[in-house]
Amino acid sequence: MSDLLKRIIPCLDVDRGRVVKGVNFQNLRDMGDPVELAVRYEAEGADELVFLDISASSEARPTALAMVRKVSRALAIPFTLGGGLRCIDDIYAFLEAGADKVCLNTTAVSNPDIVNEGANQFGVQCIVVAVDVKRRKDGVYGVYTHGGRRDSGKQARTWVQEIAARGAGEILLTSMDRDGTGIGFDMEITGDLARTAPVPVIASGGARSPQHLRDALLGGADAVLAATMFHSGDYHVGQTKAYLAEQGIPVRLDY
Amino acid sequence: MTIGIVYPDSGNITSVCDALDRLGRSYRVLREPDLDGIGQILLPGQGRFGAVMAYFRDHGWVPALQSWAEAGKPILGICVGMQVLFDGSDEDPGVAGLGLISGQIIRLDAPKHPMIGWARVHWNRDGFAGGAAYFVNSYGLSTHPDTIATTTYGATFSVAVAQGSIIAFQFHPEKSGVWGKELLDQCLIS
Repeated sequence: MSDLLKRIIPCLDVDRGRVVKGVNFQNLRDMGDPVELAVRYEAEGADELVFLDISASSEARPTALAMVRKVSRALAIPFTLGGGLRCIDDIYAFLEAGADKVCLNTTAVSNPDIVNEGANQFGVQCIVVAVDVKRRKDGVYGVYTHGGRRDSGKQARTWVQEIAARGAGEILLTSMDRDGTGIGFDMEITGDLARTAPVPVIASGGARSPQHLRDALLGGADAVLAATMFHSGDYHVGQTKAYLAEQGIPVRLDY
Repeated sequence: MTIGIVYPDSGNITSVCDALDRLGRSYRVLREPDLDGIGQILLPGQGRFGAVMAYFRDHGWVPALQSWAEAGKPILGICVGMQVLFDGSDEDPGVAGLGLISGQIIRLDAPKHPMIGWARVHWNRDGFAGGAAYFVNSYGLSTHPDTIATTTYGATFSVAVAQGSIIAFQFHPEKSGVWGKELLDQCLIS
């Protein structure tokens, strides 16, 4: 018996202060203002939001900070900022601007001590570590960086245990095999890690329908991240949650 | 009257300040117990138990908060700001809390740590609307005579307490959407 609810988390890619959409970061299309979209998703029943800053250059940093500041003023639900965080000062700056959590990806692999330092300084609850996985030929899931292009040599299961021990408060698990495909989450690795990780696991990569979200949540994921299915207008967050509730999944319906 | 937000230097309080701005409340961020013109003290939910108490001890907050409570003036605690109201915590054994309410904060007997996410809140007192709140914690208060709401995650624990002029929440009303906004509005002086 638990009162804890499963979370639905829309993810917004942000480039120089605008929400964008593209495939593999190519042919980016402007989707609108991050604050307006954030407020709309909150009203539709989103439980949290994740903003991934995909701006390649460090000159874009002040723009990202200004966006976080505006989002924090407007939003009454938690949000996470990821993308390009390299040091403790970066983490501090985004938390100070109002982000509830930061998401570390490549940096956590190249410098895992940043997870310990971040957790010690700011608390485990604001350190999310993104783990991008791919199934290797031998069937073992490996951890990849640089948008799935570089094999870190690490194995998914041991890496998740390591970063949780170092102080990651949550794992954002993305299947790079499924990301952008729309065929659903990779439940083999998601189910395995959701069951074995000592911290919450957010499933990501491949969702295109409410059924996909249901499968991940029934499979043990604590939360699901989705982008295209909501941004495209094909599915409404509130209607998706109503469907999940009908399927027996505990979600927040009073918002 | 102005709300005094105590800034324990061990985490950011931007979220709670933004929430008070949205509610149109006047507030001042306090590093020292400079309480002139303050009508309610808000202890925000950032940082760990030991770090917050160390800050309180070093900056004269312990006697200031104790006499504030003895005078029957309002205090609102959120998350670790609720936990420090008690005698101590499993998070930092040996560190004394404010002791404004008797009791011990324990490590939650929960499936995963930290407990992160929205959970249903069950009130046992009239005047509060049912709903779901956003939680981020590994520690909490077990059942307690001053409990006004509970939540179950692993075990059932106390997520809101009220005693005299003190009210405190284990969850984050400032991050709990419209429901949390209305709850904060109800519990803050205007």
